[in-house]
Amino acid sequence: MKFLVVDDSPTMRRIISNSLRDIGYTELQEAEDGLQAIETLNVMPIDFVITDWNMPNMNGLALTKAIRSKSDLEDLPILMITTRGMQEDVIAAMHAKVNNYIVKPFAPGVLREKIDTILKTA
Amino acid sequence: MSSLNVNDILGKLNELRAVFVLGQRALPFIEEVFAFLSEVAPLMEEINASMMDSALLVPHATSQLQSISEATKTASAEILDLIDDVMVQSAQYEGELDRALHDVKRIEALGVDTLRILREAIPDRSDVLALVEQNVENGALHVHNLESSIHARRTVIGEIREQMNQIAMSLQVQDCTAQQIASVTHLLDNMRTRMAELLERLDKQSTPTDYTPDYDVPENASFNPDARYENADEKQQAADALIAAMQKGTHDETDAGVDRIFKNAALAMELRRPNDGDDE
Repeated sequence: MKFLVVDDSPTMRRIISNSLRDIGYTELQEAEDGLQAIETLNVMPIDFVITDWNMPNMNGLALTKAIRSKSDLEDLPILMITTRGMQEDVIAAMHAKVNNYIVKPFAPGVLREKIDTILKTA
Repeated sequence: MSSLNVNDILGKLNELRAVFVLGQRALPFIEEVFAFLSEVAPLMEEINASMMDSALLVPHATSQLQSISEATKTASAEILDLIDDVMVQSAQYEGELDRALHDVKRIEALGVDTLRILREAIPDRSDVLALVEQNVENGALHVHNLESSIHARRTVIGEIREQMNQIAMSLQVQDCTAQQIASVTHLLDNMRTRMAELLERLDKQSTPTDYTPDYDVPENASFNPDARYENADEKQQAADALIAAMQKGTHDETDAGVDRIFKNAALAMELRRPNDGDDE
């Protein structure tokens, strides 16, 4: 299973990628923002997207909407990991059709739990 | 000259006298206004100079904040590099311990095997067999001690790896503080722009470019000004409850409905939290 980790913070990309490796997922791609993520999705098959919300050029919400607008990617699992924990943020993300939502700072167990939940229902 | 004309002149003179009387009464007030203006002028100049100084300091403050953000990013990368090194080394050490455990068990098995061969070869030499059996038992005891020691070391390595993971996860603080710093930088840059515009209006000799910073302020920077490095369990539980309700289609998306979900999550966290008094 190939993961795409999208975050403008190199620290966060490393933390998420390391956590994924610990869980057992070793095929990982990284992107710095939504635009880079779209470029990656255009050139290689990706099975799971983990994205931040606040990013320059194209944020995570716009990326999610862009992914869902493509017929071949509308079922691609998307997990949002963000510092935005307000109720209206969660609602906006769910309306954009993310599959699940993690509020930073998160524990490794939460990441595993959300991925498992998404994959079970996918 | 008619009497009417004289009356007119007298009337005009009265008006003139009234003007003089008014002037006489207004004179102290006008003097006060002059005094006030002569005091305000240097004050305005002082404000102008102070604004100019502040406008010049803002880019410096912004630049310092950006360098703090860069420094924490570099430090976080260095810490993550060290954590990766420790993880690799601990994995190698675990591998060596596994091999050592395997070798030790082989030695134990060899002793048992040797005893079996001797029992078959020299069944009548009970004295020798008893000696070898004693040695094999002693060896087994040492092997058991060694096994315990290896398992204890593996436990320690596991704990070190867990602590390394916790340190790595704690570095999420860098992302949160970077967003807070970006938010303050953005605010300062807006202030600098407005002050430069105001100074340009107050002092035609200066231009906004005089206060242009010597660093790049990203125009498309995206950050959450409310980013906080704090326990997110409560927010996560509220988000989970909201998502579950939305996925089931049972959510009430009115403000009251969503507030209820978040308040319930907060209450659940409060109930789960251990009572401080119980620990004492």
